[in-house]
Amino acid sequence: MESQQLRAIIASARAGDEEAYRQLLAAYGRRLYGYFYRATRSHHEAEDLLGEVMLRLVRRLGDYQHRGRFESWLFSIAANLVRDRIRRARARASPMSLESGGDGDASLGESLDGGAEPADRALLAGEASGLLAEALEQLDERSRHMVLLRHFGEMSFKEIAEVFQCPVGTVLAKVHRALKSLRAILEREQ
Amino acid sequence: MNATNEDYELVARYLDGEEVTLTAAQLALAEEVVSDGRQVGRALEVPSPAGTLHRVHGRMVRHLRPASRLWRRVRWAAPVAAAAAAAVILALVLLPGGPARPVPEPTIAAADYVDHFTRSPTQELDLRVDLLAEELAVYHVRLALNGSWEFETAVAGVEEEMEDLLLGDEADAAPMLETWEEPL
Repeated sequence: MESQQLRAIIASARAGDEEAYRQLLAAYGRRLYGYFYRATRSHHEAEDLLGEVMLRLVRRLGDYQHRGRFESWLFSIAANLVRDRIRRARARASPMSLESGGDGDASLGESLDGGAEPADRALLAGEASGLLAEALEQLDERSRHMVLLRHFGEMSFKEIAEVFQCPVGTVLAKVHRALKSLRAILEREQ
Repeated sequence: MNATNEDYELVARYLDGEEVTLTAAQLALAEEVVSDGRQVGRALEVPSPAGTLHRVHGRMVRHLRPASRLWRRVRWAAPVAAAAAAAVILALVLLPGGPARPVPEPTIAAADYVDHFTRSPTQELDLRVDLLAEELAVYHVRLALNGSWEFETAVAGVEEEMEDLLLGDEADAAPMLETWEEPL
């Protein structure tokens, strides 16, 4: 979406125009959904989070300053939502730290439901034997979200570094290792 | 390539679009990241189930509309409240003595009551006398024009009626009206 057009849509949305919000949803909804789905591995959670992020958008759009990129701002909200939900789910399921990664680092879908829902399993079966999803699960949480934000949010490394409050070099190092690992799995599939 | 933190930082800034000079190894690292990103990105794409965006849009609209309704109410409430306040202030300023002063109850002095009751019957009587006087004037005119004695007799009867009405009491006056129907 062009900057001028986006600016006009944001102005209309701030004035409470429903059509403007529909346009924002049409422009970013699919990418947000993809991010939420890959982050939670649950279609149900992804839809719920998409609704939640749009409601936050309605509430916070007045605070948005059109200096940086809108989608980075939007995906930062999305990342915080996912992080909060995972934190709450883990607090209910186990005392595991959010910062810990690797072993036992289950997805939100698994934390909530003990695994992907049947409908999700069917969908996952249709994509490269679900190995990509499993490979994503093998990544530590930060690396997984960095890869997802880089792809779905088209965020710069600097923007991702701001979300995770770490040096930009650290972001690239984690993304690089994660991408290598995922690519290796995809190549094995082929 | 065993990249250091410094390598990663420079490559990250380069990939973010900054003007950074990279070594050949750093450039290779940058190209590898871009290539891996493209390959993995294609695999990451996931279609949203049918109706998802529609349902989310419905949820968003439900959230937007109560706010709009509330805003409409507030938007109208403010001028209405301001107008009401202005009306109260105007009433306080314009009403003589202000609303705090008790409104005096209407009182009529005893003399006024007497005057009222004595004057009203008189006025009623005056009207009746005026009517009779008009009729008498008509009879006088007809008498002058026609010269008939019948009319004169009738006029004399009317005059008597008038005298009785004015000088006699009401009990006597009422039956006299009936006598008008009797042949003279």
